[in-house]
Amino acid sequence: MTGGALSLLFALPSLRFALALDVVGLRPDLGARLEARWPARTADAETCGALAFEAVPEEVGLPPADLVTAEVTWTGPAQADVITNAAALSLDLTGDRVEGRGRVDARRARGGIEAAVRAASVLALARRGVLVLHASAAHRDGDALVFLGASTAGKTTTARRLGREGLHRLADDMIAIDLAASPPTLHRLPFERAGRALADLAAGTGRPGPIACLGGALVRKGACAAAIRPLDDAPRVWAEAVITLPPAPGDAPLLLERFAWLCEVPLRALDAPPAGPLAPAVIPWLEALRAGAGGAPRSGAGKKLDALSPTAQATRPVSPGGTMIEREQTAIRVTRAPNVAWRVLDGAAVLVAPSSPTVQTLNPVGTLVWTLADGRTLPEMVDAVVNEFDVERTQAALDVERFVQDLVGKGLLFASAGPGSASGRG
Amino acid sequence: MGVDFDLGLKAAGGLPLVAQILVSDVCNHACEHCYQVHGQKGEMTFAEIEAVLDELARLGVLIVSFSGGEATLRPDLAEILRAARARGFAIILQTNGYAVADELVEVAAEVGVWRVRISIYSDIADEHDAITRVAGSFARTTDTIRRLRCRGIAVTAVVPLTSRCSAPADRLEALAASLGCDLEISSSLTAKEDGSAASLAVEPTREQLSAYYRVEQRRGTPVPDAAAKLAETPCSACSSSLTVHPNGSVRPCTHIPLELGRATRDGAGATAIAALQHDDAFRFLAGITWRDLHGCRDCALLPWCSRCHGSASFETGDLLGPQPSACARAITRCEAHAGSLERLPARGPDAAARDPGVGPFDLVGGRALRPARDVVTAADEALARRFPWVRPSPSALQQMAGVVPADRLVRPRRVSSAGKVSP
Repeated sequence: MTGGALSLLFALPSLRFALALDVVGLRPDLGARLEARWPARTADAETCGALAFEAVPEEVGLPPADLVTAEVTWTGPAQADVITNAAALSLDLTGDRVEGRGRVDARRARGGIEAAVRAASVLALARRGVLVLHASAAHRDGDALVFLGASTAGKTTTARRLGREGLHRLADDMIAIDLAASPPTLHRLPFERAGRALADLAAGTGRPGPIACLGGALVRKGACAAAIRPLDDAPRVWAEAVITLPPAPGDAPLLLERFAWLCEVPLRALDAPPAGPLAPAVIPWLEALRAGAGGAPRSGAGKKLDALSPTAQATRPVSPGGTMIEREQTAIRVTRAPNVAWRVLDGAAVLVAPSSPTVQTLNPVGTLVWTLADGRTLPEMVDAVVNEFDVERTQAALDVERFVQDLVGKGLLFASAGPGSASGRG
Repeated sequence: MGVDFDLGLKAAGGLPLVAQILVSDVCNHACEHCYQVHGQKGEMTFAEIEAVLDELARLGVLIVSFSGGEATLRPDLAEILRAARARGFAIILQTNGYAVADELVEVAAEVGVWRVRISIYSDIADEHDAITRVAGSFARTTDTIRRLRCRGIAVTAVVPLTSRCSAPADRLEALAASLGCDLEISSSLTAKEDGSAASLAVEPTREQLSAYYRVEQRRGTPVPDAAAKLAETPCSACSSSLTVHPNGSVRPCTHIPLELGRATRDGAGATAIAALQHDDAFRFLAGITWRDLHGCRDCALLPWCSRCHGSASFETGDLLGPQPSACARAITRCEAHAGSLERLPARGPDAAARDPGVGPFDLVGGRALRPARDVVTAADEALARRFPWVRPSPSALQQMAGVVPADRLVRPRRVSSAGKVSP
């Protein structure tokens, strides 16, 4: 093994999209981890291009960060420089081909290669009219739903729960959607975060035919009961779910058209209680969609443009520097989950949530934050904590954020971006 | 209540955090083991229940548990649940699950009912139906559990062990798992509130109890230390819950036949509940520990014992003394954990009068059980003088329970001139 040369295959068989992945200069242990991710390439594997990486013992690409980022600079009609965490890649996407050469930081090779492959495939798929969604997905007999939501919204959990309740889990975190088909088809990506075993990947979707995407659901944690509900502002939710990179100079119209088609996929909200089955709420909706699938032809161009309402455009993640996922910059407003019964007894908030069989008691700081959680922003809450307790602002901000995150995770608080309303409850 | 939380927590008014409200005085089952006598007490109006809820909310009570009779027989149960939700309570609904309409399931989901507690008597329909004496009740009850679970509502299947049930613990667990609900097995029945022991006729057999306690032992359920247990409160009445009966009678629990106040009287229900925190009897009951129970405090089986004050007063006429049915369970439980015990005869002057099955007991050498002397102190007598209701006469019990014994119920039927039978 000369400097740890690897010949791997990155394949979406259902889309006939496969890239050769060649890496040289890797430490053997890192090579093994990459091989565990993607299968070795056989001599007869058909590909539509190759990405070649050289692992070098120096800093390459963007510095380590908690957010996955990619910067794309288009240098020609189909040529781009892509810089990701720990990797840099020159890409040529002329025609249907994908050719790339690049370098990767040897110490962070696994993450670097993954990020670069991800960016390259998002760009290459976009040229084919295929979008990549930040979503989990599950199907039944080839009819699938995608589950959307911000990080920690419960996408993965939802797909896993449904996987235990008779549906088949397709993806935990990302999935490709081919909008040229009607209904659109879903395609599993080999860079799923869940650390798939090779055997699982080889099995593909677990069924031979295409997987049709009949609908989507925005996961809402913390409800007391599983339910499918109507959703306002669906285009905005879709827009936030699409993983966007600046398209090639000529590709924007195609992508906008495909996005408009995406907005025609029925989208609802899924109330996901922390316990109990989800399938009884999800399956009837899937059945209803199945009954109506194929009946309505894709609407005309005018409708497509409607879907791209000013709201949708305005709130779609703007990616000037090509940031793949951006942190919400708008103020986070915190509200108590409805259906949590609570009283303040002896200065301590005592909580009863439908999701938990036990009564929970908060400490004094927690109690203050809880009582203030009527749509106020985090900074407002931090102000109150600083006023009330002998604590430095930095520490208070840290504590409040951690506390709110904890309770949001438990479904006791909701955090939402945007103006919100400060209407109190309780 | 089957709800674990810190018993030290009190609502703002010094009241327990939990209030049980019996909203119905009638039932659509005729369970063999039921301690209640139905149809004699009357029911609060919706407005009266609202007033009670208002007051409980004002006093800081956090959890309300609706029960009956059979709560779902109230046509306005949905309104009651909404009224409770509007006042910010966590809601427990206790039902037999027989007549829970889809609409009610929706309301339960809408108001975010915390827990629905549903009684089940076996995993075999015939055995369940034999207890309820309603054919088809098992099918309807389990269907209700499924529908509630489908709407994401947490359900606890409560199984009071009876001699009709052939299912050991693992089968009941399998049933609960198949229904997607939690399981709570109760090993004790209680005497009927009319003073009769009819409800105890289907008490679980010694073998059943023994098998149940052996499962508990295999699972390593901790048995409390006697010294620590002496300081604990034996039951939740007044300490962590209070109960409003269907007719508005405010009582420590469903069993102890003592009226602490009347929530409906002259529209002063609110005051009746608020006054509890200053009520002598209420404070006394809330503070009872095992140390206050003569006999029990000297019993070597104390760690294995659980009891019901109300049932004790029905069984022996002494709320603060040993409860024979609890003594029997404690022996079975101790033997299930520690192996069989030799029975030694009682000693001393009152030996002949002693019921050998009733505590207190000494454990001799750890392997033999001998009835010990039930020491009643001057302090115990003083308590009984201060609170005469702790040693009620049988007739006083019936009067306090507010019901006429079933065997004395006469329902004369008149035949009207038109030949129509009317009650």
